[in-house]
Amino acid sequence: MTTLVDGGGPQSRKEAAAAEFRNFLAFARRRPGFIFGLCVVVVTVFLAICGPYIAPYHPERALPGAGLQPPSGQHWMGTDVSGMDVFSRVISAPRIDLAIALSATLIAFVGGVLLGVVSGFYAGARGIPRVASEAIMRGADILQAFPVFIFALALVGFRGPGTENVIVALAFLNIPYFLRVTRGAVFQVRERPFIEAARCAGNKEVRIAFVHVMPNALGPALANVSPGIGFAILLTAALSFVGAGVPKPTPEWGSMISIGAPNMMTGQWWTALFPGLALGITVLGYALVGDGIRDYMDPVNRR
Amino acid sequence: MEPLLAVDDVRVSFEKESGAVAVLNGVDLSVQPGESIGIVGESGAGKTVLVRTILNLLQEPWKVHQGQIRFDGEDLLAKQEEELRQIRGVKIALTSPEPRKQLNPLVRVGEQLAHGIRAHRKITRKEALELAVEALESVGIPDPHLRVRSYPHELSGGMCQRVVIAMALSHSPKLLLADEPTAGLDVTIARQILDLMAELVHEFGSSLMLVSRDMGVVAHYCQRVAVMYAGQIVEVGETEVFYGAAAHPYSRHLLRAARAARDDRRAAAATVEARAAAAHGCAYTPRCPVAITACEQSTPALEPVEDGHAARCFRRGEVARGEVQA
Repeated sequence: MTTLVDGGGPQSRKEAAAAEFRNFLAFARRRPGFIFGLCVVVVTVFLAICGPYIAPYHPERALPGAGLQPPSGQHWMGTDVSGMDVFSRVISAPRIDLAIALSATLIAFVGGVLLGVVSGFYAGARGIPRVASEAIMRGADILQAFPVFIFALALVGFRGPGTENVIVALAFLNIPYFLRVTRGAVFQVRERPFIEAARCAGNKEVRIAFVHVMPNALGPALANVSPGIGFAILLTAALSFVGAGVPKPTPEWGSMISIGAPNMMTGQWWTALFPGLALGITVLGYALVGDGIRDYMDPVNRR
Repeated sequence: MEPLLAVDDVRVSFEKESGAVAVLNGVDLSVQPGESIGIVGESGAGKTVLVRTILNLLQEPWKVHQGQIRFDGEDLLAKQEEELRQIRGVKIALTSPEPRKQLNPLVRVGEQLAHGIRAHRKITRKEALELAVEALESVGIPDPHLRVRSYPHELSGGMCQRVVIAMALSHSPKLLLADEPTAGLDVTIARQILDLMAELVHEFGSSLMLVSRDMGVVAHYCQRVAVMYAGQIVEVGETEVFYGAAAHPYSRHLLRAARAARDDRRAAAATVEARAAAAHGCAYTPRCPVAITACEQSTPALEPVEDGHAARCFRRGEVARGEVQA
């Protein structure tokens, strides 16, 4: 039996990886926005894991008689109307926000890519595959014909509020984006010579679609993951703001803003401002990371 | 002898919204078992389209209008996709130009070889990988047990072509269609690749259809030569006869150009014109130095000059004997 060991010189492969990493650092150094975005991602992920443990107060426990206190040394971001510490809640919120956004985006990514490969690979074919390809696209058209937020609201309204239903609604809404970018990439990849070579070698169409076309068509969808997460966080907050998302009192930026909104009028600006800032910075950060990754993958924009 | 492959009056066009462009205008060609035949002709003559038509790989907007392709007693153009899958790669294999583009950049070459092997044999992935190592060894790749784990970008162009050849020959096909196997390779590597291909084809007793623009390569590796021009075979004959007494003015022109080893500007300038004129009369008339009135009025058939040597030219006899300067 022949033993298989690493080919192409493990040394050279390791060196190539190191060179790629240096390239990446040099690229990031020229882009403060990208670095800012990366920091936001790192911080939110860290808070999603540790937020509730490092919070100075319990994020869901009201302190009796301590409602609507302004920011102070004791309560850095003040307390809200029921006496919960705003700072503790702001840093605990990424757990639920990120969990929802990540899982929804992941589902949308997988679903969108699979459907995109099918619809792109079989576009222009004959018979059932073509019908499937067209049906997928028309489905996406219908989904995208509705205003995003109204549609999410309707979905949650249909299934009732709750974390899983928010995930389902967001995943559903995001599928067409991943589907379309993947379909476009598939159109290019399926014309490349190695696809025909694979066909000539007697590979089955399904195998060609998923082994040869799909991995080479993942780039655009991958570049959309990060902004997709940002968008999902924003939508989660929006749904919670109108009471169709995460039930209170779970710490979540959108529901915190909605709790704090009435107090804004009466001068207690801190209850809504801080969660709002956190939300804005996070969405911006994820979008910037997405832009950076897209530029990094495009050789022309690397400089 | 019953030919292995018989292409009979195949007509293929490229359908555009503004109308169809005829690309193959009635190609007739046969390949005997075990023989090597060279297809030569300029860019746009239809060489690659012919190869793809044989494998029935053309999809929309390409359209096969008429003709028959018989391979081993079966009509390839009438086959369903699943039947074709049993022929492609097993009985007829193809190598296309630019080897690096023939390989999936994200899959290790050993895996790609194994895919091809497992597509037609019920064996495990591990066994297929071992066969892949052997296949790489047979095409002269050093350290094949290391190379199966390489990605295409880690191999040179010549190495990639060897991998592609290994893939094409992994089921000992009866016919190997080699479309410009040396395009993009430098001369010494090209020589090695062609020698290897010829040797393996001989070993398996396969037939070889070598598509090339290089008259020298074809002369060296093929027993017969077919010249394509504007979607037709304009001349076909034994290599020695052909190189000694080419009977079509275009063949003469090609040979002269090859000998002069330089680009003929006139040829390049006249290509489009020639295609436009292909509708009536001999397609080569606009460029032909010995054209007569009949050439513009009707298309000559592929008729014999002598045994086994035929040309599509009214003046084939005179040209072959060198009585007119074509």
